[in-house]
Amino acid sequence: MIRMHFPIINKEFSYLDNAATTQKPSQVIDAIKNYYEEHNANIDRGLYELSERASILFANARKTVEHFVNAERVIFTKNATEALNLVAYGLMKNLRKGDNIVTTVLEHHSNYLPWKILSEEKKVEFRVAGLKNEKLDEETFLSLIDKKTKVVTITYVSNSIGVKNNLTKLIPLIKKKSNAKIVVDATQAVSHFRVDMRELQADYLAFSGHKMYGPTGIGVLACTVKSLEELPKLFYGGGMVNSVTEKGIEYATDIKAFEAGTPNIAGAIGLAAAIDFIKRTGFVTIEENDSQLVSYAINEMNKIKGLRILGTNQVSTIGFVIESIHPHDLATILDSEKVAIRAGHHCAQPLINSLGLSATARISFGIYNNKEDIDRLILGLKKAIEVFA
Amino acid sequence: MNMYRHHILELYKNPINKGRLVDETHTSTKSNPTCGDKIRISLIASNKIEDIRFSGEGCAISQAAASILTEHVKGKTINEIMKLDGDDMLELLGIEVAPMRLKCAMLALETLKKSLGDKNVRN
Repeated sequence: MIRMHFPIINKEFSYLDNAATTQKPSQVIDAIKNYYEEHNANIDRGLYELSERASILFANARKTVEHFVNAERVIFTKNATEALNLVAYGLMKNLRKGDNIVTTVLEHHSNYLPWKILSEEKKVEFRVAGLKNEKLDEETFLSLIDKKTKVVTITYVSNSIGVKNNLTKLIPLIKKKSNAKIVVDATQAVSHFRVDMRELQADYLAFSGHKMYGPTGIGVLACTVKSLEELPKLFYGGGMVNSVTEKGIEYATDIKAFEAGTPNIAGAIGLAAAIDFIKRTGFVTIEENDSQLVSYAINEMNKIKGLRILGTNQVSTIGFVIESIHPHDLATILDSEKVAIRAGHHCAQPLINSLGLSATARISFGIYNNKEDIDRLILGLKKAIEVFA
Repeated sequence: MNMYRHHILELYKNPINKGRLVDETHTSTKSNPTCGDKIRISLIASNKIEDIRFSGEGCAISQAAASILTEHVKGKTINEIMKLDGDDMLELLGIEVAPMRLKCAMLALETLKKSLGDKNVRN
């Protein structure tokens, strides 16, 4: 029973806000506890055995992450937002007036705002592809890309409506039209299906640890060796230099140049434990659970009068609205029925507005969710409709 | 379900003082960034509130609060309104508001104060 691995999960309560953050398995909690109890020291500088042990654990965690998404390099950040900002600042530095950036209306604010704001500063065109039939309008998206496109940044899975973009098809088509750098926000993807950076041909890939059964405060910017070289350093301090003298500074090379200061060692170790948990569970089991829950939920929700499901081909997240009940009221009533859902604009206002709405409700699944959770949700939705009748 | 009492739901479905005054002397708009609730206050006042309307969209709590508050402040002086605080608003609502929903409950009051020039109200 997978639910046993999650101390916070119990029969009395249905947690359906996994796109915001997932719960943590004992394996992850224990790995962090064990690190602090038995191996804690600063890394890469202590000349003693304990520091060496901590350094090895941290380095192994990085290898685990690299292997997990088949990346050439992995930089640890505090979350996907920081990773995406790091790329945006890095890549935008060299853009000129007349260049353009292409993205989609499905983006989370973290993969929208950095690019939009820097585009305005740099007088670079910011092109946003919209929706067709409540998923990405692929034709328009590709038509926005030309020789002057320097960056294409796109989410793998929408955090608000759960739609998966067909990146294995789209990225080769993008590459035919331009030499743009390809940035993928894989935050809502990595805990639901196998993501392979080399296969995708992405230059940069970002995700957060806490949305994939890992701890908060650790995120990842994965990249190729070549794309890493194109990023300028952003933070200066300890750990990212080899020598500092009056004559000059010799910087550390490779990823170390991007991780100034003591990193989140425990976070990286916790993230590696989360990856082990995912691997041990297996994507076959995960995908089967997701697809069963999505189809069962959609089937049951469609029986409710006035309920509209947003998007299509959902991976593990379903956005919806109910006629004449504001999503916030819905969430409050569901909370009293012991069901946790998200309501609002989900940090994706351009998307919600493009659907003609100002707020939506959202359920999103994790590996511990089951049909009973959905049954409880449906009862709660019926209760809300009763209250507002 | 203490929040969704009959009078709240009734005002959500059939709001009072909804609309916009053509010859308004004060107006302000404010939204609740976490949920997209939005209120616009439109009023006529010199020293006292002569007339007041609100428009906007959002959850039952924010919208019912706007009906209740606009009704309450008619004829009140600007000084009296500036003294209204969160506890007064909760008392007017007559319900228990969950902590996560306090912003919804306070939106109308904050928008009203902002329209009357209260610099303490954050956008």
